[in-house]
Amino acid sequence: MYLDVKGIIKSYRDNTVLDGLDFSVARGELVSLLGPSGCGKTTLLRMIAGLVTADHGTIRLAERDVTGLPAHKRNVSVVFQNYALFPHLNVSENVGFGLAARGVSKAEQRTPVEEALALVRMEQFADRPISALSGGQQQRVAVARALVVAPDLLLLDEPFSALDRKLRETMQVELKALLRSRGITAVFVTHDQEEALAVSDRIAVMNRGRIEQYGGPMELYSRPATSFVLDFVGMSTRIAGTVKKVEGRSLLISTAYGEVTAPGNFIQGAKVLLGVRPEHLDPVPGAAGSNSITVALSDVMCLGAKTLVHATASGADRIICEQSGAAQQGLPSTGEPVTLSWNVEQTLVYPAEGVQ
Amino acid sequence: MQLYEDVITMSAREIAAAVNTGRLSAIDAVRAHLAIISERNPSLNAIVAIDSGKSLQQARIVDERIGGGECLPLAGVPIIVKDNIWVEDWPITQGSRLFANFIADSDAEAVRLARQAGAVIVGIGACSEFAAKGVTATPLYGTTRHPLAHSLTPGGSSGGNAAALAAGMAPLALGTDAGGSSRRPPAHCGIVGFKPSQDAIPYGPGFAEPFWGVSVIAPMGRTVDDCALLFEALTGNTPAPQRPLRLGYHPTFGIDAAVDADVAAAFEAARRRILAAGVEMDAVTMAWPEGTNEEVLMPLQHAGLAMLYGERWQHEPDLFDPDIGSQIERGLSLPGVAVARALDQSHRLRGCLDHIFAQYDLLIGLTTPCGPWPHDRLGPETIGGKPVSPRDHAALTPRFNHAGLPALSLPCGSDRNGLPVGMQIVGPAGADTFVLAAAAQFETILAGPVA
Repeated sequence: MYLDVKGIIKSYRDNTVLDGLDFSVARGELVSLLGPSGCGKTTLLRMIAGLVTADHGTIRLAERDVTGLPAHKRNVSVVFQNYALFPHLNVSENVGFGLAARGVSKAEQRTPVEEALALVRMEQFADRPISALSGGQQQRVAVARALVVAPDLLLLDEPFSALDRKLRETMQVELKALLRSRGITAVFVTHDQEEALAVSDRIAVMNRGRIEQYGGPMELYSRPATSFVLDFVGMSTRIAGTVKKVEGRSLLISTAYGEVTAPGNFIQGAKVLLGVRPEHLDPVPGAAGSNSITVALSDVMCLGAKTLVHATASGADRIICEQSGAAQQGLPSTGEPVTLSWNVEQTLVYPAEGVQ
Repeated sequence: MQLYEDVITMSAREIAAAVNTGRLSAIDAVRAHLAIISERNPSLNAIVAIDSGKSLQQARIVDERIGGGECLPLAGVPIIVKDNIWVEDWPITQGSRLFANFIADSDAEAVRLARQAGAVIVGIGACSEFAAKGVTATPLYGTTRHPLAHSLTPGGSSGGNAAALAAGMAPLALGTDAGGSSRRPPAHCGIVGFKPSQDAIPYGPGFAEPFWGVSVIAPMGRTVDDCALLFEALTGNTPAPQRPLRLGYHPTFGIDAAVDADVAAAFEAARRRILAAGVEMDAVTMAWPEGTNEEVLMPLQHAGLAMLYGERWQHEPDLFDPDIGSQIERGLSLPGVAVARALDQSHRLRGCLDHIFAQYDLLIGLTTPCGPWPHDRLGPETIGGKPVSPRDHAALTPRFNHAGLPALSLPCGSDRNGLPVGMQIVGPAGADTFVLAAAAQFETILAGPVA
């Protein structure tokens, strides 16, 4: 692989931040590290950049072992969350800064700086002070500065978090197209699942210093490997249950809403968590052989292109059903029973997390 | 696959009978269990060494022996051996990085006898480092999960064996028990664990022990009958007949220990069902030697670990489980008088229940005072609503090791989470087959309909 991170362990005192982590990226791939705060994603990014050292493990980039190399010898660029632009320098001086630090003369800087600014469509702003730029423009300058040194790898730490929602979506599309067109290998760090789904070829979902699943957006959504991924990526109905009977691969599971059938490999008596994606639930009784539960409808939220139906659930369970369009007709009113059904094969089963 | 489903629900006795009569080959019995192991072990981490080539080769030899006219008590029965008992040519590590490359050069005598009787080793069961803590998780092999609730521990130190049996990976296992290691995990996982009388089953050849004279080889199984079958194969002791019993009961055997209310209720309900089935029983008052408690006994394990591994620990602490490291550290700093006191107490526990066994055939109580807890902790934070220390979940088992008595854990109901609770059945020294016979009787009573 182009970037190969192997067996990384990092602890601060008793706190293990990265726990024997493996991670790799192919050349030209756009990858996100996605997880809640404290999951270790930023530590991993900083370690790849050379800003944090690993206790154990190796990092290889572009066929070199860079584990022991300092940050400035790795040929890696970082776009930081706050962009870290110099307020006393203008736009082109900021972009040229990395080249100057590498001993490139002012005259030799001109062409690459102009090219980099053209890439992010900021050539007209070359002489402006940083303070005169909007947030989106500052972000473009930060990207230009990162790309001007022709890095082997571009790292971006929450690059869109300072932008408002509309601008963020525009910048995501723009940046992805730019990185693609230049064949740049990039790793994003984000806690925002929609952002990760939008900008990445593959996403590594991190939790407690480990990668829980590493795969394409569709794979993460339709086949979450763990209940953490089910919860973190997309919405889901989540129901606690106990395996009552096992017949080969088919499990009969008792829940607070009656018995449900699901494919899986658990033993009788096992405590499990059932997951169903909201669009797989139908607010009508299902055909024979499908699963159905009857629960009290608690809320209907019409969101334009889709309608979310929430139902009252016991304990830590959550029940949510998604209909496309404004499909409010035919639904019972709040507090009335509604029967939700879904295909047995669409039922995901995980070990229960917290028993006790 | 249908065949496999059938084979993995068979008891050891049924498998042996089928193999002896040619209805099932040892190879097929072993292959079915290896398939289940490869399917279920990745999520449980109960088995730490698998070698299907060796297992199938051993099964082939059993089939040849059957073909040659032999009748073997454990013919083709898959068995799991705990990671601290020597099995020739298998990696055995005690869950420790110090032994990461150790390959046993001979069988422990119990293993040799089991193989001789036709059992086939299908895997090595995870154990905590040096079998010295009550959670099965090691720096070498990682965390073993409870088969019924993956967020919890099956307990330890024979947690791998217990989880594997509950998950159908084999009907039988060989564990060790120096303080409850092969009774508490069975209680948590809903299987049977039997600690025989001291020295009833040959111990070793094997690793050095922190403290001799309390650890035993312990048969573990899904049923009492299977444990009895294995015990018979290892000792030649034929089963005792069932006979009328007079039991003494006390949920904690008179030990001053915190108990969870739901666990106590499960024991009480089981006890009443046994009583209702016509078994005589009285509540007993137990008088233990003055000053007996588990804290006072612990220096034997700590000083013993320090004797064996103290020097390595001081030079290469990174190789150790930090929890074991702190036990070694404590052992290194213990005054001689603490060790002498522990030895004195251990000695006084021998024979101290003789007067009770003069009145009662057997004693029954709980195996553990609580259900299983999250796998990243040494023990539950509270028992019976009170904050407890990390060893308090193990309060009810170690004295019977020091007393040298046979003690068996039998599933007897479930806790508030629907997870198994174990009843501990204790008998006088040497009454092993009698304990097994009574346990089989209680197992039948508890399996029947609730009145």
